[in-house]
Amino acid sequence: MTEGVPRAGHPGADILSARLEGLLPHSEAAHVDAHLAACAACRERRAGLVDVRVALASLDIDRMPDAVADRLQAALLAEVGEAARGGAAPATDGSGPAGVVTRIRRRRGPWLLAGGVAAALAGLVFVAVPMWEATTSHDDTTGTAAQSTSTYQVTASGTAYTSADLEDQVRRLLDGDGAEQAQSRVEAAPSDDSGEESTDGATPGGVPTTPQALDACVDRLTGGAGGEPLAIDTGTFAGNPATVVVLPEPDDAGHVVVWVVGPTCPDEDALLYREVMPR
Amino acid sequence: MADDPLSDHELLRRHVAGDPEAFAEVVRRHRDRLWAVALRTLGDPEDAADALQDALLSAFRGAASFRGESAVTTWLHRVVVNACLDRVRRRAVRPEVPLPAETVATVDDPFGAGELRIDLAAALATLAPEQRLALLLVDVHGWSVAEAAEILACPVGTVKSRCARGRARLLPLLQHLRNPPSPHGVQPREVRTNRAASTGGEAAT
Repeated sequence: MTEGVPRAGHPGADILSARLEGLLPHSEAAHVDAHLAACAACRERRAGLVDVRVALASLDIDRMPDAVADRLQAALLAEVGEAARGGAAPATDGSGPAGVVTRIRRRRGPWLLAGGVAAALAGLVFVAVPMWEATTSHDDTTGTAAQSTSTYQVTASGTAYTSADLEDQVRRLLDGDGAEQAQSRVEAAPSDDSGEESTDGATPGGVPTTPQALDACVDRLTGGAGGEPLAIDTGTFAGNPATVVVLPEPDDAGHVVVWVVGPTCPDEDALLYREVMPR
Repeated sequence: MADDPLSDHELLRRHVAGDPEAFAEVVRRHRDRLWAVALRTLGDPEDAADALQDALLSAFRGAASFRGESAVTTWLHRVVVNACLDRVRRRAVRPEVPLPAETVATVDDPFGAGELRIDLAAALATLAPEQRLALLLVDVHGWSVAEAAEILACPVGTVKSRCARGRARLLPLLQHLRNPPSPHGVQPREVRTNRAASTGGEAAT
């Protein structure tokens, strides 16, 4: 369907369009120009071609849907994990320019949470579900929630996290706005030290299922660089159970690193999303 | 978010040096445009997402071969465009070609600007992929002809002629929308004939 099939003697839209684009040989261009000078209808059509450009320029550029963005990020993260594990990618050295780089590498030994987290969370009404004890700590087995006991707290806000809203969602999490919600959603959550019970099951959302796994997971996320989680919260991400782990950015006190992981963390494929955001 | 002043080139360099997040950051910067190209080329969001993922993973792995003589985003576009055109060709082998039914159908309100936008987008979908891509890159996304030529791996003149022909094909639609036909003039649904004809079923008139 060739448009602008002209009445006899009039150049077609293809020709006019080619003329506008400077594509016609000189002689033909001169011929068309002469016609245009004498023919208002063809000048009108030429103006219409310019309008087509203008109209096209006004089209919106489709925004990538969150689900696609999340999937893409996950695929890239998995690829990063692949490279790190297989050693396919060149190893990082410390010589690079001041690194925004957090290396993913394994560190041996349990990740131990200091009491600082409790302090960081002090004043918040987080319900600990469950309140796990780190595997190695002081030998006191009473587990009283004193500063000397290394525990970290997991909230279960059930938030449907998305990459697009993550920054706001994490901010609310850190501000403790979600605490009320968390409390209301998790009934019968023990507020005292009943760590043993809660390890057995009923870990809501996508939290790694054992304290050891969670340890290993956090260890994995920090890359052995240390840093205590500022918050750990279970909910969903792109419709799947997931845990959000907020860590301090080692090189920049003004930022936090937010990880979204699946239940099988520290496995590679459980690293769903990562973002560095201002505190 | 992290208002990172690093250039794309620098990020890519870091990626090649092993920075696990540099590449994702580059992608994040350009994802909407890359997505728009994939979606408009393939029509189907699922296909577009697949193509985009394939393309970006291969770019991720092949970043070391990026020479840096062109912009990173041009290079990413080229990789995505290639992945999309591959899919278009593979799909052409199969009989069913479900391009977006979208909104080509009828023009209820020929005067509305919104309609114009929608119908223009739909009309764009009726062009051959190469033509559509040229118009998309140059007219919609605002790439220069030279950049589009680089993305499409073809001479500048080819981009120009694809654009020129594409605009010529869109002209009747635009005129139709701007100057609605007289009562016994063209039927609104004629807008659809390109699509219907190319898929085999000349439905109406």
